Amino acid sequence: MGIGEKIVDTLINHHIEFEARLCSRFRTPKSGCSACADLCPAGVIQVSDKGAEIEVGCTDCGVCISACPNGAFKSSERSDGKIVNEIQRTIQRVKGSEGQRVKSFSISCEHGNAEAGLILPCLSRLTEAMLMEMVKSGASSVEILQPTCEWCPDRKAARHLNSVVQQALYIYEMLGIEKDSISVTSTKFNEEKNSQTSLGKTESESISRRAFLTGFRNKAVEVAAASIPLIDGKDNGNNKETFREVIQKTAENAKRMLLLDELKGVISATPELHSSLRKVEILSDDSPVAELEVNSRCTGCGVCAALCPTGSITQQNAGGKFALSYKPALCTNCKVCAAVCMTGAIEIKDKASLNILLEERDIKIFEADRKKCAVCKIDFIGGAGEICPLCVNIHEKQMSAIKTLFKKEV
Amino acid sequence: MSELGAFVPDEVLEASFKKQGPKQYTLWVDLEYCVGCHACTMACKAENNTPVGVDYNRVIEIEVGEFKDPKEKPDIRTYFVAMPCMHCGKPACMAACPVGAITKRKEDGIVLINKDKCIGCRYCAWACPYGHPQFNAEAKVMEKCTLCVHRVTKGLKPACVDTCIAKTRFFGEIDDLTKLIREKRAERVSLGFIGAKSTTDPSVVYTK
Repeated sequence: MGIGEKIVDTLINHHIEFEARLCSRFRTPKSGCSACADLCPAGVIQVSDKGAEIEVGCTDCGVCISACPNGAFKSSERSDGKIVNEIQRTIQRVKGSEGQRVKSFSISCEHGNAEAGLILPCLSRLTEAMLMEMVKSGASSVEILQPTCEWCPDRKAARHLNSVVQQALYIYEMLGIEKDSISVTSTKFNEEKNSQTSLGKTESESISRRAFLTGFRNKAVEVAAASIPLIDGKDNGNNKETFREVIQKTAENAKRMLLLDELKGVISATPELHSSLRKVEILSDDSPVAELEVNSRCTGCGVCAALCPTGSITQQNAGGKFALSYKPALCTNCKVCAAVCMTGAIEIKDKASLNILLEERDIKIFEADRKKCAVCKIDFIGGAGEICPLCVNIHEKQMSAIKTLFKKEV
Repeated sequence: MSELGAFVPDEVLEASFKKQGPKQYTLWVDLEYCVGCHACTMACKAENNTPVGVDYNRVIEIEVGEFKDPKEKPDIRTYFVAMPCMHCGKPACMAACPVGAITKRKEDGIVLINKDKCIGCRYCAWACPYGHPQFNAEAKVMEKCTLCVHRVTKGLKPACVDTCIAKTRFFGEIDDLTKLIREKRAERVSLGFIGAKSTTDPSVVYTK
């Protein structure tokens, strides 16, 4: 983006932020993930080795926030957490006047029913955590009022709602909540957007003209100042972190943390659930979490741990051993680990048990003794003697390659 | 699995091949006159400031032939084979890198490791059929012969080529070098590459 475009884009209050460290594509070009770009209704997301770039034209619908399995997107204006609070407050208000249980909580989009309990810019902004909150706060059922998406300019994002509802139903099944607790009903499509709630602002949050223009000016100055290195053409190479340094610090997947909080909330509010969670097995392709194993082909390279976007797989080097641990609660089934593993030592099972989503302990999935190689002095696992498999491999390859130059004579 | 013996599936290798451009800079190493002095190795080391244990140009000694009946003329000799990076047409290292740190330049075909991207996993060393990329233990990244790209882009020749005491190393565009070989060594036929075009398509050409 050019400087002028950047300033204009920021001034139009573009609230979606992207954290590259959580993005599978940023971690490895071997990940083919393009969930955000595929669903963005405005078509302004470009996915590349840098991760995702949001170009000018973002409408802050937030579908990308729900689309990204790793939670790489968030909204600085109306975050998932804020929406969850809105749901809670709305249900509390209704509870107050109707008594203990709220029969049904309704959700709609800006083109749909303006009377719904929760209005989102697009129904595909919905996340599983939000659906959990509705149950946690005491709604007996959830009604999604969906207008005819085919008529909407943002229809590209429409199919994601089905994935979210499906995931939520699997979770409900695990929690013993009835499947018909979520219903999707048709409602009238309104051409005119009900955008009063698009930023979640109520009347009391509106600002004065002076405050607005001052904010406008300050933002312009901030963006212009930040863009000066670009005008210069010089890259401040000294200040830039290497990729290795960037990935060493894990970023938290707030989307998953919120879902886990909601699940724990529902379980603790319903004592009989503690011991009677139903076992739900789903196909790996539909699962929010992967069930994986490390087989004997592991060479101890640690690339899976280094590149796991959410820090679900970690490496331990204590006590003369190399070990890999796996925390299912953080796993988003992004499959980066299996994609990068050189020997295919990481096996993701065809089916996953959804229940492991609640497993927050580190499970040891691989361990082997470490030795120092006599040649390269680097620690290795496996192999027959004092020399690491790589050094042996290199020596053999070199001799074999040279022999091809002297085919007839040697 | 390809013949590389490493773990690069054929479709990944084919995909990296698509990045090749029109020109390929490379080296011609004439094994006939190499005396094994290792000056090329030293010059490379000095030019690129490599640490102990890392040599972009390694010279390997190999005995070829048989020592037959002492009464007859012995049919045996030693060759010294210098092995820099082959700057392959289909670099296995580039296909194997999990973070995309290795690229092949479009303008001259030189294969380079981006040290800011590299995580030091050594997959490239596993994948390279000639075992070329090496681990720099201090910087914790992989390093390899750059064909002295910093010299070549200024019109100079790689350090190893300038230093060779037997004038048995040459640098240039691969088609030009092939012509030069036919000119200078017309009486000798063997033009060899250290690997097949069907595997990684190495560019460095050897004669003997």
